[in-house]
Amino acid sequence: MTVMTSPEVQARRNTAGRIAVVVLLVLGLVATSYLRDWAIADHEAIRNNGRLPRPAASTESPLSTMPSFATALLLGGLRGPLVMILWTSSETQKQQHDLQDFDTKVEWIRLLQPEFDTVHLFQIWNKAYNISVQMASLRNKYTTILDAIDYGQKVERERPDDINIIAAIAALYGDKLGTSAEHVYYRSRIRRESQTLTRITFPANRADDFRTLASKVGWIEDQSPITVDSKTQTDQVTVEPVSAKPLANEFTGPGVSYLTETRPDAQKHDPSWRRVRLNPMLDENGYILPELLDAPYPRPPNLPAAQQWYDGSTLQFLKQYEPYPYGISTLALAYNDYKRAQLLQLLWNQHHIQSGDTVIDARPALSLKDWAKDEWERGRRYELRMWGLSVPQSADPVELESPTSDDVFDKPSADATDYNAALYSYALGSRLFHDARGEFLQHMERYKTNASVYFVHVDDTISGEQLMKADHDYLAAASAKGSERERLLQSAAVAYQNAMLQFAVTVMKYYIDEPVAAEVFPKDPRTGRQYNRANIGTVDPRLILPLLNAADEATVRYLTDPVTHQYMAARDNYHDDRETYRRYMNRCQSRLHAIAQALPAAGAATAP
Amino acid sequence: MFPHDHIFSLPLAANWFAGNWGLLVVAVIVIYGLLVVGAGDVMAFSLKRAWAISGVCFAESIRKRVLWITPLAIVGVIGITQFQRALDEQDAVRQSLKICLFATALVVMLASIILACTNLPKEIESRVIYTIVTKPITRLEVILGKVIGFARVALTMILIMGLFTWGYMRVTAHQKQQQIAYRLQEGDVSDTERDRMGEYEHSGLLTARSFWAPDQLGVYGAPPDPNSSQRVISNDGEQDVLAGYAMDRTALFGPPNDNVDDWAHSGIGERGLAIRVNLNTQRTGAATDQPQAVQPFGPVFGKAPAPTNLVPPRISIEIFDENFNDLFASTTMVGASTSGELVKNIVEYSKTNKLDPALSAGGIRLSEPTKLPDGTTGQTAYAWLPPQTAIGLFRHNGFQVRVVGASGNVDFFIGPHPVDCFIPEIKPGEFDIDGPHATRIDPRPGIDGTGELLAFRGRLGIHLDQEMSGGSDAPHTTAVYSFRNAPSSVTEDGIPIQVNVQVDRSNSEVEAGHEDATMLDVSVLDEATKRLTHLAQPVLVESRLPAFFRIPADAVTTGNYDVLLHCENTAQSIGLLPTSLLLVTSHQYFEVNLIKSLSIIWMMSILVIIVAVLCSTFLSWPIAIVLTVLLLLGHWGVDQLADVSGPGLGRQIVNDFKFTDVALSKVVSTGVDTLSNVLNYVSDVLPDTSKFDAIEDIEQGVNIPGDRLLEALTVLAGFGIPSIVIAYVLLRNKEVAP
Repeated sequence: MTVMTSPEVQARRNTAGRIAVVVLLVLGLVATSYLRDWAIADHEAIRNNGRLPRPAASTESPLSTMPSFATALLLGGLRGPLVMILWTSSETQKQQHDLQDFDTKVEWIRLLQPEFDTVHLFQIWNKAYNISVQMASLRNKYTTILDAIDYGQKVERERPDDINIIAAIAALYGDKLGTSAEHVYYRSRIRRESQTLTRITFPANRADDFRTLASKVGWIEDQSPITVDSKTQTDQVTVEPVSAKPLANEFTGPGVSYLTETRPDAQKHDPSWRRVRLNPMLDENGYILPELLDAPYPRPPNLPAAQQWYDGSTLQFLKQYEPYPYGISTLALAYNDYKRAQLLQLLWNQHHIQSGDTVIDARPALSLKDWAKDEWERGRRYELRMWGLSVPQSADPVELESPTSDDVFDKPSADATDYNAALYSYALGSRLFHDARGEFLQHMERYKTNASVYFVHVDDTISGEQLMKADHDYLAAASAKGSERERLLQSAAVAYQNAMLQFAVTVMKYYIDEPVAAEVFPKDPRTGRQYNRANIGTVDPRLILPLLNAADEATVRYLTDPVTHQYMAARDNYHDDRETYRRYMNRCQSRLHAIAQALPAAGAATAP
Repeated sequence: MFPHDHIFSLPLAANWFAGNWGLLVVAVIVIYGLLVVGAGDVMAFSLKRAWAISGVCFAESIRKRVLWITPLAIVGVIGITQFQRALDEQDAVRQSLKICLFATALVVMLASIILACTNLPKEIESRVIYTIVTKPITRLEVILGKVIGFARVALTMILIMGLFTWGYMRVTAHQKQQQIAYRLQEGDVSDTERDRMGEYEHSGLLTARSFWAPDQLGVYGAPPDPNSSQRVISNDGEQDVLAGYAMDRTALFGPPNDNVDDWAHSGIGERGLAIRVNLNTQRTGAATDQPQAVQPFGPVFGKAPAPTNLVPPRISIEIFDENFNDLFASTTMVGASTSGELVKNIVEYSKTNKLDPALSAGGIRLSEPTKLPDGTTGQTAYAWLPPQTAIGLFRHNGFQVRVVGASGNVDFFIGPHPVDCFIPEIKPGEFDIDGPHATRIDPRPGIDGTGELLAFRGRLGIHLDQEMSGGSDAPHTTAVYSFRNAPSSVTEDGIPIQVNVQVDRSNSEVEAGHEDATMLDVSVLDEATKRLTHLAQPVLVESRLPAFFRIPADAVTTGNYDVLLHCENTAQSIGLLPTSLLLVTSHQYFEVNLIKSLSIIWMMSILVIIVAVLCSTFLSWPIAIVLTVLLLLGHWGVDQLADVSGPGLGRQIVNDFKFTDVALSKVVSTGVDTLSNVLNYVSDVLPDTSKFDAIEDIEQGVNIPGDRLLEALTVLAGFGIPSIVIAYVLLRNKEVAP
């Protein structure tokens, strides 16, 4: 028997059935999402070897934090074709140097392929290298590189503790901003912008007063020019805290104001806003801003001091070097991120998708050494400035060794700010060389088969540490009195002596030809066997300098054409390296002479 | 035989028909459809009834809630713009505008296709059509009524989206201008941005500009002397000069001949083309760098003595086609310093028909200064294009003689008339290259109507631009943009100019610790007074981004003036296109430009509706949608394939697939070529939707020219009217009601 139902009842049933299907579909989607998150969390937990789970990714952009299957559903299955079109189109635009809306396409690719690290690595590199090179002015190149860093940091916020992204950002700080051909400009920008700057406003008719006073406290007009507001007849200038603080006492009066520079939040929340300078990382006193040290994974209190720990904070490894009165070096930022990547590899068992484990592990040591050399160079520049000598803007750092090497330590300084800055750089440089050596030794311990690559770096850190210490103490003696001055000069003399011997050993280890070494190296009186490159450092220190001189003479003999009797410079592969080390040694020698003259009683200790 | 010889052999009337066949087809369709088939319906046509039908269509579409698409599109636009990233504020505004207009066009086109394709088939299927066709309404009124009705729907949607676009863009532009003001105040702008941002702050981010392009771009080895017609090309700057010639076949190949083959073998096809170059030179650089007639023998100890017997420098002569493509290399022409020497070299060449490279037009040594038959004095070089090669010119619409220096440390001074072309007189015992018996070919006149049309060019860049080195690399190299009869666009600040160039730099100077912005030194040469005005401040430019500057109003007296650019930065080169520098003639309100853009979108939607209605008269609605899309995108699709679907595609496929069988190769080659030809012919009869470009100009801040609207209207009329007629004829013959 067929039961007839009324059309109204049938319609109600149909509607109820449709609603039930829709509800089921929605529930199914939500359940799938939760199950997927659970599976990812489980996978991460296994991958991280049972360590702390990742905190939830930030809600930087809801679209990019959506799992790819969700965006695929949202776009009706067109995610793939859309991404393909965006890739082709953006690459074509890049080749045609048409950068209008290029960044939007890259951003959409990022949002549509959020889970692909290879995409992010390519785009970070693409922006920092391929796109920045299309800009003509250095400032616009710099802005483009910042945009690449922004991209990386955005991905990092969405996918925290990702070794690939962190290493890519480190590479931008270290390679692109720190050591590329344009690094002079980039390094100074990063140093300056990492600080919380002070905006000084003053009446236009006091511009000359300002120039006179500010130039005595380290202000350089090229780097922070005065801008004129013709409407209000006032001038404005943004200066670094190290200059602002002394100025606040001396440059005062009606209409003069000092304000900490801030950025309007509205800009940060504007999706199309493009960064044109770095965000400050330091407060007015040179300490890292607290939010950059927020640790999602605080160090357990019972962990041994020697045990390394990754706490997930942005600038975890720079806190130990606080304060930064002259800003943070881009190479320091590189070190920080490389160190984070290294610990993610060591402790979290992550592996970089494009670089080998040894590469990632060695980077912190190398970048720390680069940072130390940056401080070395800055110290030299401050030295030149404090003694009123011209400071070449783009000279080879080695060229900076000679001009001040003969200056006596107590030669009156033209600028106390530069004097203090030089002391700071040398002290930090010495410490950094020391720490870099520790990093190198740890790396060599972990990767023994690769250790020989880093022997020369270790030797360089020994000599660098001694030279920086010597330079620091030499300059510090100028402001010390009595026995303290004598102690500092003695200490400088010892350090110069050590540095000079270490430089000589380094040359004999790595920068002379094998036949020369065989000819020159003496026999070890203890074993009766000839010293070799590996153990020449253990030779009686009194023999080191004569040996080096003998090696130089032997090199000339070895590379002299027997027919023409001419020195074959082209075949001298190590000539430039030896010259560099000779310059360092000459500086040590000059300084030792100066100390010997100032400190006759210490003649024995300061004898070159 | 020549591939296009049929073009030359068609009679005049046939040529006219060949050029206007589209118009003829339209006329035939309209006349046949309206006057032959539907004369009665045309006579009975009532606009009132058509309007009433359109009202029904409109009301029905509104009932279908089609306008609900617009809020969805608006939400989509706002959502998508949140994910944009921009180079600067102007880029952000342009991107937003592009997204708004794209969304407008998309929703209007989609709605139009769906509505128009489904309407008629569904009415027939549901028999609603009975209620219409049984009334005293003609089929012409039905078709037109539907087109008008859907056009009204499209217009309503465009108005809603247009209103949103206007409001959204105004708000966005206001926000961005505030950001610009903030950046300028804070100094958060690079040197190259400052003036640009200032201009945007001053004139707004939405304002459309009208531009006037210069008449000529020249790149010279030295700034032009206002009081002299001589110009300099320098090998250091890798410049050249091209003299333009129109293709006057009668002048070059003699009187027309019905037999094209015979015609092409006359004139220069029989006696070759003789080229005479007349210029002056001046050595630059150190004397020791100059070539000498006799090199000193053996090693030179101590300081080298100054050369005493310098020889003239060398040049090369080549022939380019009308599009600046290399046509005949210098190595295919016989060269010589004097006409007498050329005759000897031609005789030498004629013995074997093989050209000794030493006798070619590549690196011809210039003569000592001599007096020419026309009274001028200079150093000459001659080239002769052999007749069998010269025949190749027959198929071209013009050619250009290129002269380029082939010696370093030399300035080549080019007068107003540096190149002469002749058909030499060759008879037994008589060989006249440029004398009274030779026939001189008239060149194209220069932009002032005098001299020759000369193009002075820089080094060719990878973007097909002309590169100009800067700083100490090329201390005198100057680019000159010549304006002739330019409109007056003087504002209170002067004459506004926009410049947008490609900047390439090597790494040699980037160690500098400052921004090192690229600086263009700008001067203006007034043609009437010969006064040179130098701008006090250099113009700072960034690669491929516009920069703005103003010429002082008193620097020019008429619309004839030259703008001179010189790059001040060493190790940088500037890539210039003829339109890299533009005169800004006026600014226009955004609203006016937006209305023009929306009008184009509306015209496009009407075309879509007409094609959709046409398809729906004889197809079911799903198939009608597919066919409509195909018809609309067909021309565009073939355009995209244009590069590969040209002649020779069949041969290329045979080669790529390595067919060895001759017969099979021929079949494949012929088949592919035929298909390719059919494709090209079909695309010719499909509407060219690229003429409805409503976004590009407004996005770039360019005032949409009236021509753009006219072009769209032409395509709409050209394809719309016959399509309506065809739709009417089809519907008229269709049995839609018992």
